[in-house]
Amino acid sequence: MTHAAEAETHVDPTVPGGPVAEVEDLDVEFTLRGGLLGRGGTLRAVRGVDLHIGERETLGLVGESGSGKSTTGRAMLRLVEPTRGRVRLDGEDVTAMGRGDLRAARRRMQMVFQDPYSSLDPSMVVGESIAEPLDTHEGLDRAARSARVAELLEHVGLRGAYAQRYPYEFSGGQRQRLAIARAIALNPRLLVCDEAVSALDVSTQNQILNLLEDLQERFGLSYLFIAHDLAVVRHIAHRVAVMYLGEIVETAPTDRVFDDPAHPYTRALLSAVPVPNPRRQRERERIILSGEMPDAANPPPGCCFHTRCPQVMDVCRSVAPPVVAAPGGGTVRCHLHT
Amino acid sequence: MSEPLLVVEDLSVEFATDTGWVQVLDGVTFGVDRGETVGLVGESGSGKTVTSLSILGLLPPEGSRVTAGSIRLDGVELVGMPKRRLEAMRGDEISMIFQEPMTSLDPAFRVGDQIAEVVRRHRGGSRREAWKRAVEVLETVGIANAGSRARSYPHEFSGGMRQRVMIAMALSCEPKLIIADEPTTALDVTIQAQVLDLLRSMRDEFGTAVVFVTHDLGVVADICDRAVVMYAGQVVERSEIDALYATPHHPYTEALLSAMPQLVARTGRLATIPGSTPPAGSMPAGCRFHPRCGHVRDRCRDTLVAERRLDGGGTSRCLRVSDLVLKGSA
Repeated sequence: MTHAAEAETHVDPTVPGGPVAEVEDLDVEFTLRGGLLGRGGTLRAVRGVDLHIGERETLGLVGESGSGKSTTGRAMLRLVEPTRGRVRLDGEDVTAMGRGDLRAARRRMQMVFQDPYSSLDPSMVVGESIAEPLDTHEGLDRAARSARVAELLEHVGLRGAYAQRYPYEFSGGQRQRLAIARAIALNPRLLVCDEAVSALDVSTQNQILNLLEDLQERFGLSYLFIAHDLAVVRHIAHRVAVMYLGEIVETAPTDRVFDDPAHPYTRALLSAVPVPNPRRQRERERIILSGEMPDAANPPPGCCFHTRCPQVMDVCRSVAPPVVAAPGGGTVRCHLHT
Repeated sequence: MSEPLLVVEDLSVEFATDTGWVQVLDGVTFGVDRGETVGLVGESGSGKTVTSLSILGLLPPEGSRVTAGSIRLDGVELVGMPKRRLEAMRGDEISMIFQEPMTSLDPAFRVGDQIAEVVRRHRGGSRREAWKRAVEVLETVGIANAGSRARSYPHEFSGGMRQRVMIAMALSCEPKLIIADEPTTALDVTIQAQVLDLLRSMRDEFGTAVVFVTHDLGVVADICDRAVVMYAGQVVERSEIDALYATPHHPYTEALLSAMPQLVARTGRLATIPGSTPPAGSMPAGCRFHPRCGHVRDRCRDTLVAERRLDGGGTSRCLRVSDLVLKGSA
């Protein structure tokens, strides 16, 4: 077990029933080929990530573009191959699985994307798209198959008769419901929701978030909820992990992260979200970070955040901070706490 | 009292569809004072972007038409203005910033040349002077080493930096008015904070008025002085910003505010607005919001509702405005 995983199990209350998903020291590297300047090299998109998700638990994974949060989610399902580390689903090592086992394991872990069209074929009636995973894995007869499709549509708040319609006949929110129906068709344990509500208007977004909460309750689902919208994550997540430049810099129960952020990056991130209350917004302390996230192909030495950190110290420029227990719960990767 | 810098008055716009002309804006009215930032707020289909494109004279010439109303900038009528005069005003007296800067930046030219080109078109002068101005505005928007960065191509900038370049270009001729359509929506939140900060200091320094089109009520609270809330092609409420969040005067505004997930504390179940925005061409009778409104009465279903002035200076398009006390977020 790595240092980080140790610190986490030490600090976080044990999840009843043990974790559904565990990630240990996960690395994902991409090989950069050629490009305009003809430079090759490797880009470590995910660096030493540890996390775990309990039964009926939602882990919010937040960070800005390029932080590696989507790659982490994809690597857990092996939609991209991890370079190093372990992913376990119900204790079974997904990373070591051959094709057959992996195919079977995918029944238990599914993904919901920002764009529902990525799981709905525009040329097929939606009932067919929803039945596709059933056909691959269950081989139901005609009657059982259409009964199951109708049931799934009702689970996501749509009418069973909608199975015969095409994706373009639905609104954006309804299409996301359809994508969720397909994702839960095989009774998965874990859903990875990658910016699943980001493209929706706020009223529709809330309908989908409420639906996800209902389904979690009803079917005992666990969620890895990847999002850049922190207010949404505060609402839906039980615990939160904050990523920056491929690393988890802080993780803790949601209230602790939002009420008492331990990492300077988390503090800056939270202070940058404008609150829908003009008076409070004017009075809030705001931390405006300078510059942007460094290029992941050339990460800075020491702490990955030191180039933008308002509280940077000498040690941060050369020594990578260890993962330590944070005051109030969870862990943080920052020299201020060592 | 002199007229505001920008006056949009009773503006109605139609789009061509397979089944004929369909109304997308209905009697939109609002004003923007000098140095003021006004938020144009609404969800998709509200008409906020069509309104901003109308002000810029950028509605597609085939397939759209202004059927009524007036848009005046500093007293000059923009509706029906000949194309060449409009083009001369755009980039000079009125300029724009869009969500995706690459739609306005040409990938084949250095950013300094593109800004200099705008300056020369509107202000004349030598190439050297225009280039100098380009470097100067790039410096103003916080681009380090502006002199050498002016020689870079758009793809050599990150998303946040490209948005700064866009703002530099928009500012280059010291416009009276900037139309900013979701300028920070595609940006990460820490970069959004930088860009909002920049827009604020530009306003303070140059007194530029801004129409800020957005769906994000947090951003509106952060940067706007007043807001115009749009729903289904109509203005449903206009208000000074503190009053809007404290005591909204239209049920749609109330619904939007209550639906915003809160950063400060987890609330119970998230509020939703039942149903969805009606598509253009099939607007409900009576109040357009009535099928989704929690305060609906029978008369709302068939009575056309006009925008009415309120005591505090705002407006509301709700029949029940005088007997409703609506909940805000502040």
